[in-house]
Amino acid sequence: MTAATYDLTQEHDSVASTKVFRSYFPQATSLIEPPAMGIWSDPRTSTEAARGLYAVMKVFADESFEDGVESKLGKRLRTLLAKFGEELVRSFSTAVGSATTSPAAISEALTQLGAFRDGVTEETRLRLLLAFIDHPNSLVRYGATCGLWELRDRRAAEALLRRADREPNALVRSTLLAAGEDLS
Amino acid sequence: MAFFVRKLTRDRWVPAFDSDAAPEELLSFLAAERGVSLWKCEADEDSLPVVVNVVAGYESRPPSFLHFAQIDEDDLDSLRLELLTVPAHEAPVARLRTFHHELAVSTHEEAARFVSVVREAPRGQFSRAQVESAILRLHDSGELIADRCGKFAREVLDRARPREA
Repeated sequence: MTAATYDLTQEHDSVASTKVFRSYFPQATSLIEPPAMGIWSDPRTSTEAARGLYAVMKVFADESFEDGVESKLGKRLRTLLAKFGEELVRSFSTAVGSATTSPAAISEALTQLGAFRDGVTEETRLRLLLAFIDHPNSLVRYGATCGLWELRDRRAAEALLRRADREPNALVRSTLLAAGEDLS
Repeated sequence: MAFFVRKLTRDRWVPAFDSDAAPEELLSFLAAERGVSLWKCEADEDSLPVVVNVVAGYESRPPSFLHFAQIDEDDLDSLRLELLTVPAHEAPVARLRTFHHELAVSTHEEAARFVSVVREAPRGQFSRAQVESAILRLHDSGELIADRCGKFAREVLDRARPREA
C-alpha cells in the first residue's frame, strides 16, 4: 500500500480548521503550501534539527501504525529530542510540511511527542499538540489528541472538550472526549 | 442474534469516518488488511471477552481510547460478501480462536458498502475498569494465556500478583 501524500492544498476537512491552525502557526506556510524549493534549501527548515526530523519522517512515510503498538518512529524521535530538545519541537510544524510526509506518520509522531517524559520541552510540546488538534486532517487531529492524553497536562482538558463539540469525525470526537474527561 | 465485533484501528478507520472519504481511499485501507478481520459473537456476554482478547494481544493505551463496532449479522449478510472462518491461533483467549472471521472486500463499491455499514453500527467503548476486571477474571479462570498478552494486559496481571501473594 502506498501511503497518501500529505498536501493540505488537496485535503481539507474544513476551512475553519485550516484558519485556526494557521492562526497558531502563521510562520508555518509550508504546511499549507509546501516549499517550492524543497525542504533542504528552505531557510526555515535548514536547521540540523529540522533536517533530522524531516529525514526520519520520510523513512516512515509508508508505514502503518496501530494504537498501543510500539513503533520505531517513537524511538527515532526520542533520540532526536534528546539531541535537539526545544529546537526539535519548534521545527516540527515546518519539517512535516512536505508532500513526502504521510498523515499517519505525523499522527504517530504527535502521539509519541506527547508520551516523552522531558520537563524541559513539556511546555513547547503542549502548545504544539494543542495547535494540532485543529489540524485539517482527521488522522493528525487524532494523533494530537492521543499525544495530549499521553502528556498528562490537565491544562489541555478544556481545549480537548471544546474541540470535541465541533469535531466532525465520530472516532476523533469520542477520542477527544475520552482524553478531555480523563484529564479533567 | 449473532453480531460481529470489529476494532476500529487508527490508520485505517479514522479517515473512513470523514464525511468526504473517497471510495478509493476506503479500498486502499481495507485491502491493507488482506481480509477484514471480524470476531463473531453469538451472545452479548461474548463481547467483553472478545474486546479483552483484542486488547490483551498488544495494546498499551487505555481501553477508553479504543473503538469497537458491533455489526449486526443481518447487515453483514446483506452485503453478500464472502466471509471465511479463519481461526486465530495466537489469540490470548483460547476459546475465542474460532470466533475469528475474515471478510473479503475487493472492489471500491464493496468497500464503500462495508464502510457505510460500519459507520452506522453501534460503537462500543469500554472503560479501563471493565477491561481490567475482565482480564483478571479470564486469567483466573484459565482462559487468558498470560504469555500471549501485550503490555497493557501484562501490567494489569503484574499489578494483581502482590494481591494474590
